[in-house]
Amino acid sequence: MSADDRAPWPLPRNFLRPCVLLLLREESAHGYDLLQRLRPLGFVRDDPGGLYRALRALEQDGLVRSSWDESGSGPDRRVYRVTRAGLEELHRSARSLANVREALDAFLDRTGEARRTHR
Amino acid sequence: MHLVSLTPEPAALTPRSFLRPCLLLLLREEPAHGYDLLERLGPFGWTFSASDPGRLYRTLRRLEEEGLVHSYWEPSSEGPSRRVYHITRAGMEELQGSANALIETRRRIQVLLSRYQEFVSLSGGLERSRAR
Repeated sequence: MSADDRAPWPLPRNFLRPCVLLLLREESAHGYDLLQRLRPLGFVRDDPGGLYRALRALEQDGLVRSSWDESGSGPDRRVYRVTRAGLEELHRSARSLANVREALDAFLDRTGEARRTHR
Repeated sequence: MHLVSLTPEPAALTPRSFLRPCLLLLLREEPAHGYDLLERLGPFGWTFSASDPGRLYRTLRRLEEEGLVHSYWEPSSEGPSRRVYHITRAGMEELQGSANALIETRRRIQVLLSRYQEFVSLSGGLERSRAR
């Protein structure tokens, strides 16, 4: 999300993608629900524009599928769900992020910051 | 030498500009030639193919322009003289700031991975076997 670009800490460039895939794997959702559910993952400033751009890109890549929720009401009736390919992408991303975490641990260890991280 | 991350999707999930604090840390430990730095970056997830040192030297040049790193030519009895890089006081401050910020980066990644592991263990063996 673009709000996150302004964060003082450097996040992985595509960090929003695995977050959205994980949330959709847990439960299919409207965009608005996702916005709420992203907060515990640290996306505390709502950025609907950034989220919808990410969802559109994920759908173009075949990782997410959306459909119109006929029973719903209000303007936000598109429901997103993760596809098989999206699930595989999530697994790959988790492995990558585990490697990144390892690299960060090595870095923080040698800067003397290791004691302040919670292992 | 071309810098790529060890992970399958190179830059995509590496924290932005992670190369900078890695270089500052290595130079704080010990002044170095560019070539030494290439080898010493390994533990931080960076690895190299043989022919394009471009990104490393561009980053070093930028760090030097910003006054975070200082370099001079070291004459060599054998072969051409080589550039040796040192960290400056401003560079040490920058490194400290980056380390503090990267603690938060690590925390964010940890939150995601914990949630992920939770769902993988909840959804059981089928999901796991599909993942492989």
